Amino acid sequence: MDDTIRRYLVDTLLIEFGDDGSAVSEDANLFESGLIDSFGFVQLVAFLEKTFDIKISDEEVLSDALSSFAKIRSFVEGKVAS
Amino acid sequence: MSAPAAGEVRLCVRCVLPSTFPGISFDARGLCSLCQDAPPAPEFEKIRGDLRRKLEAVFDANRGKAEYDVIVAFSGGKDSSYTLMALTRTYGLKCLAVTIDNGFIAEQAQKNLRAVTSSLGIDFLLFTPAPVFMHHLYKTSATTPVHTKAALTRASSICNSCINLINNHMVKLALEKSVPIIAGGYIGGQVPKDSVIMVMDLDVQARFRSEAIKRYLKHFGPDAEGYFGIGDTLVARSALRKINIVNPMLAFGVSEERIIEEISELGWRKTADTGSNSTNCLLNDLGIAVHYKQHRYNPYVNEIAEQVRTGLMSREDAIHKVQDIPDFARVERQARAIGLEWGDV
Repeated sequence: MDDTIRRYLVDTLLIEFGDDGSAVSEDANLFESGLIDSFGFVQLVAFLEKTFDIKISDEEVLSDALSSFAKIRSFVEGKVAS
Repeated sequence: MSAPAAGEVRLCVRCVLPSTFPGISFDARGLCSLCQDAPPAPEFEKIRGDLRRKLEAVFDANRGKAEYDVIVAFSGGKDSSYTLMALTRTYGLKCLAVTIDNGFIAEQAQKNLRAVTSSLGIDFLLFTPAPVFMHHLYKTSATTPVHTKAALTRASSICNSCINLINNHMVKLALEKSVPIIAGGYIGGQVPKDSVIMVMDLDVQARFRSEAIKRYLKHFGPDAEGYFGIGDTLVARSALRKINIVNPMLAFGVSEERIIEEISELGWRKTADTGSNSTNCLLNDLGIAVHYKQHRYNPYVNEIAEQVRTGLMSREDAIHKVQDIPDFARVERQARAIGLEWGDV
């Protein structure tokens, strides 16, 4: 799951994760840092719903649950387990 | 300037995406990662048929609810002209055509705006933002990283800024007039695949807009608020909580030749001065030249590759279009018009 989400963010939304200063950390807010725009967010939600067979509600979309890689991973893990 | 020959930059053997395209990889057969996951071209017609039925359901659910059924972002180019014609004639929707005059609409395209709307017998609004702001917007977009990397795979930075301004204006109009649908003329590759129908929740959109506005104010100055913002009062006053954003061209599946043939009946004529990839905007080639200098791939390649992948364009035509990269001499007049020096790019 971790690798699937990471690959999507890297390959499709072109976010470069890493430890050096120029790369993005797993906890970085992807919206505030301008790495995901509204189109990207629509794509991300559709990808997560289709890939992991989950439903993401309007409330969850409006929450902070999908704002960073770490939060996305935790959110999807919780959804899949429930 | 011409793009590197196929031997210098690897091209996908099916769709023409180049090895310089971000996030792309190739398998042993020479297929790019997007083509590896794509069905054969003939299967796309079934996919488009399903999408057309979903579109019809959205149209049926919203027809007759407001002064207009749909606002169409109408550039006067071939795709938005075809969209306007199809929504009016095929689906019987009451359309309001809205054009943003960015100051670079070709003379023939201006005639096309009038010819198409007049032939279809529909209302037409033209909005002209202040040229001083638009020139600053374009120059800054050409010299500063304003947009996400993913957005730049769909259009040049100059086009992205313009598109975002246009989209925002359409949302404001929809709110003012309580129009439940906004239609764009975007084709495959210009927008994400899932965007034939997108339901825009105004609360969700507000979140992205607030982040985007911060960047736009920083890059484009205080006037950006008026062009990229949507006042809370307008949102609160509107009866709409959600707006259907549709891109019907993704479901139509028509070739460029057929589009031009059909809209010619409306009096639409092809421009001769807008380059290989635009049928309305004189600034388009500058956007391509700048993008190619910065990123080493044609910003239209994603769209063109998708047309090939889905069987709407031949690979030969695609290679011709992708490798037509304007040199500076071809775009110098437009660059000067927005105060851009080639060395600043």
